[in-house]
Amino acid sequence: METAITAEVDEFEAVVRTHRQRIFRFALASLRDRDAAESVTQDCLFKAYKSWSQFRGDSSVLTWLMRIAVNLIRDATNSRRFRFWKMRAVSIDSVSDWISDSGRSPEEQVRAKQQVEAIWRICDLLSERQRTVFLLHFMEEMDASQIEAVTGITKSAIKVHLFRAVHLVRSELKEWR
Amino acid sequence: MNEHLSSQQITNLLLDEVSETEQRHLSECASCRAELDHLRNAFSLYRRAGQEWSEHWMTQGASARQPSGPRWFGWWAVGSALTIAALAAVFVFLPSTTFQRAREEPFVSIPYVVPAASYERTQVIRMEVPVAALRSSGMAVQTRDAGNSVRADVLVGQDGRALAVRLVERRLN
Repeated sequence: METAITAEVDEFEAVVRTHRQRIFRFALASLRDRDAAESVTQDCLFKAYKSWSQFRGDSSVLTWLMRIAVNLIRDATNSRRFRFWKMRAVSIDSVSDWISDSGRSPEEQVRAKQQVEAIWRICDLLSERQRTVFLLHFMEEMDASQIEAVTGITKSAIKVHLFRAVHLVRSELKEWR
Repeated sequence: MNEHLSSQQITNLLLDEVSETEQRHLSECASCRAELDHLRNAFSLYRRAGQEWSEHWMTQGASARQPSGPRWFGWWAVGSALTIAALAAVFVFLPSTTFQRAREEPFVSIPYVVPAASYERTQVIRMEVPVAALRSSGMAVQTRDAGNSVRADVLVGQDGRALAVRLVERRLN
């Protein structure tokens, strides 16, 4: 009995090691709040741990965890309407500050930074649902079927959400071509 | 040659769903090929930057948020002590009739907020809360001006979300 529990804990620890970073990244990109992203990540893993024994492998572990994370992020977004202030506000640097130079010239580096900033700005303009789909595809590299499994949004609706976002990105990036 | 690819077709290509028409157009149109490469490159930059950025906040976040060094802490402690003493003096010497205390008010849960988890740290913070925010959380506050604020205790979760609220006084500012 004890051995079985230990094996289960070890198994779940491996899941945490493999997926924690990804859940955190998705939560941080969605909420832009370090504390809230950490909280969502913890809650997500805690919920997953509680129901780990019932996980039957109908979907991949990542899909299952992301589904939990998407729901928690939605709750966190809703609760923000009632946040009167922001405690210990964390200034999160723009993503564009984290582009490695990879041997680019200063001009190329500036252009790359502007492109990433433009995509980030557009991501901010999207509705919550569109942003979720956008991030799952362009940040987490999930295809339409995986996004459908995570969000429950149909493939055709996912394509419409992505099309709208790509259309905005396309017109924004035209000037940097 | 036909018109350039639409955003819908570009999206299909970005999703690796290529039809024969799009494939044929791409092979003939250098402009659309260049645009597709440009978009793929921009999204790839966005993804890599996002990965580096989140790794930074995951590993450095906790320590980066906390100001370090004992010097600021000393002054902060002295400042806090003086503030608490001043507030205590105000409360002791203020006539009790100045405002109605509402100590017996229970905390009212704020709707649509994830309740505190059993392992979560919470704290109560006293603050001026906009009447509009209180009304939206279901509290009856009588005032003609919804722009007013009122003093209240707010139960705050570990991530800073407001979980519940309780009025401390009913006098409006």
